[in-house]
Amino acid sequence: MEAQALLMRSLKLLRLRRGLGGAAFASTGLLLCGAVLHLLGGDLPPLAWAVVPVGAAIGALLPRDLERGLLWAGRRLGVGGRLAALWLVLAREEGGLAELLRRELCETKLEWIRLLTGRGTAATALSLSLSLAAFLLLPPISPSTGVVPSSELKEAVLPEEATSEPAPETEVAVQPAAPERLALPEDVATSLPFQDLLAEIYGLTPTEGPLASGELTDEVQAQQGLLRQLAQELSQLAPGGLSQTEQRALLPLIQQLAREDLREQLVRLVEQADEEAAQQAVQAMEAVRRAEEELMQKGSTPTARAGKGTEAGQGEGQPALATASGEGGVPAAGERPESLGEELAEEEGELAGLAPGEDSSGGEEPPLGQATAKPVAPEVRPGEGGARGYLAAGVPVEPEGAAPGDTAAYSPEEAELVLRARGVPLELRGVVRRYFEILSQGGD
Amino acid sequence: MITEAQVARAEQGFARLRATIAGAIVGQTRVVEVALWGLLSGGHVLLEGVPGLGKTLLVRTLAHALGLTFSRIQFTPDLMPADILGTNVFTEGEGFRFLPGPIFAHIVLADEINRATPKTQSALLEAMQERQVTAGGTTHPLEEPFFVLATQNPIEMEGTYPLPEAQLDRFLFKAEVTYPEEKELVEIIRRNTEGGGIALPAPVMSREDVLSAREVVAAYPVPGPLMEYAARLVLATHPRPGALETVKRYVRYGASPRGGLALIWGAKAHAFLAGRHHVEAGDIRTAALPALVHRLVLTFRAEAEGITPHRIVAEVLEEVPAP
Repeated sequence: MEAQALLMRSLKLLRLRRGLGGAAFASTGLLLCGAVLHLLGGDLPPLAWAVVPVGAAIGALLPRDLERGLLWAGRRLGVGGRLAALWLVLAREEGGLAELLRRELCETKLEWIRLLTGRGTAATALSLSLSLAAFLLLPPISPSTGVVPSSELKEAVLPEEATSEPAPETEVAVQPAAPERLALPEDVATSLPFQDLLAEIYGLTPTEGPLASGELTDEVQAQQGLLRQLAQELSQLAPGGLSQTEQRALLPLIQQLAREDLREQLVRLVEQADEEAAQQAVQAMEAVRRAEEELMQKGSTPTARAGKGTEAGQGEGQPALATASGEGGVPAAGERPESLGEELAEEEGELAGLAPGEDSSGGEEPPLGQATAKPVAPEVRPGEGGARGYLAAGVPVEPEGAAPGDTAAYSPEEAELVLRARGVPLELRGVVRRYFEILSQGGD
Repeated sequence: MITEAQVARAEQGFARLRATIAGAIVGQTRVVEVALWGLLSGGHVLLEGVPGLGKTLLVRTLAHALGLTFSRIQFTPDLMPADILGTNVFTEGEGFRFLPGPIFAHIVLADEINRATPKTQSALLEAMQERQVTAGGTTHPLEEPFFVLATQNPIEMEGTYPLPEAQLDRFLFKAEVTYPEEKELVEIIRRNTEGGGIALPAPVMSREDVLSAREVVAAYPVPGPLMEYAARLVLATHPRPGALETVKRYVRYGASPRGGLALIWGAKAHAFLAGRHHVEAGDIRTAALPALVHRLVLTFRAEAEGITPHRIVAEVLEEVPAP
């Protein structure tokens, strides 16, 4: 190999090494920047990757000390300072020494790959790998625990109506404190009221604390299925009443009903063993289902409208809330079972301006099966009549001991629990909640 | 331009020379090596050692092996400059003519140079530096190769005049002649007491060979980083801010720029004698002690604490990183 060719190969490999080093350096820096941006929730612009070829070009083309590079290369190749010496004697046109050096170099087996390896390369590869790992694996910091991107912060700070307006820059830098979640008062049950009401309808009111939500749902579903099965069995009875065999088949199903009053009525009706009694039983069970439907309808309404209960009190198509009962002690369609009726009647009395627990009919419990005309409850407006009392009772939106400036808040479920625990009627809960929502937003 | 044949002839000639010297001188390989550095680089060498260690024999063997003219000057307190350089003498019919002194030789042994007065020392050292002698208004050049090997006794004795630092600096290298080992001493005794004594060798090289070898060594390339290394070593001997604590504490004056020249010349000569055609950092390190130790001026504290220039140079070599 010619002396010039030896030197050119060495210099090319040195340039390649420096180019790779420049690219690796640029990549490492870029990946670290990307990792930081990733932590902050951002991303590198695609144009940033142009830094890598630029770094490679700078590394390869930047003028360097050739003698120093060749001295290093000679050591890496195991030929000492011969490469650098060859470079110098060729520059001085010292042919004799150049030929001697070239011969010495050619006699040595040169492992050119060693110019691209070594501790420097390993360190570069390690730093590049670590940076790549950081870039790929680091999870972004969540806004609540770390720095929040300005875009997300703006959304968090500005109300929905104001997002279209330009926000002051200082507002972006302020991170609002997340609303503190408050513990419910001790006298408030932690189960959902809707499920509790459902449980009450089916006679599943727990005696020792609230059931777990899942258990309660299972129990309610089991009772629903039982009622459907009973209704189907009764509707398929042959004219002329129930045989003893049919009675024995139905009784185990009836005994599984959790609601005691319904169970007793059904037993009594089945024992009468006539078609009319069977139809009455079916209607009684239908009344329970309608009560459930009514409850579900109310539960899905954000704000209960005052006066709805009044309509229900007139017995118009709302059997669970109706106060009329059919003759013969059997609940007719639109009539309510007795125990459930107590609670609902209490709520209706409250709607009419009575104290909780006081019946609107003057405290007398109408006998089962006797239709009773109920007085029409006056229209209740928020802030008037009984509703004022409930508002004054202080639905604890602001917990005891809380500082005036606290931004504590209840979740809708927790607020519902509080309202229920404080005895606010179903129809007024939406009104009360809305009242305090208006207050909390600066209204009056 | 250096040719391959020239390089080869120089290498072969010095290989023979080393073998010849090794046959005459027992041991003292380091001293012989440094003497050859001086010969190859055109510098002068100061040999320091007590009498009787073969310094004179070394120089005479070298001169004979090279086939060069040789003269010995025994320095005494009453030696005058003219006794070294020569003088103009008047002869009838011819008038004044210059009678060359013993310095007009290729290899000069200045024995016990520290016994002469400073005036005489100065005359010799000036001729060493200028490579010429001026007498009676006429300049007489000294023929190359002009190589002075001076010896001095390290034992401080009455009637000696230690060389001043500026004159020590004129010597490119300094070598210390040490006592031989037991085996070497036995061999010395045997060679001097058996047979007809020590016979001086026949010439193995010519004057032209020596000059050619000098050209080859001078053409040896030294990469820039190695030059910078030599410069850093020299500067590291100076007690300046940032210097080694040892240097600041014990060195009054560091090595002169001639120290840097000596480092590179020594490195080149060492590489040549090692059979290489390029210089490594190791060559510079090897040349550091002979090139620098006699150029350091130590403080009184160093003398009081027994700190030698060798230790200073060794620490500098440890601290200054090689390229």
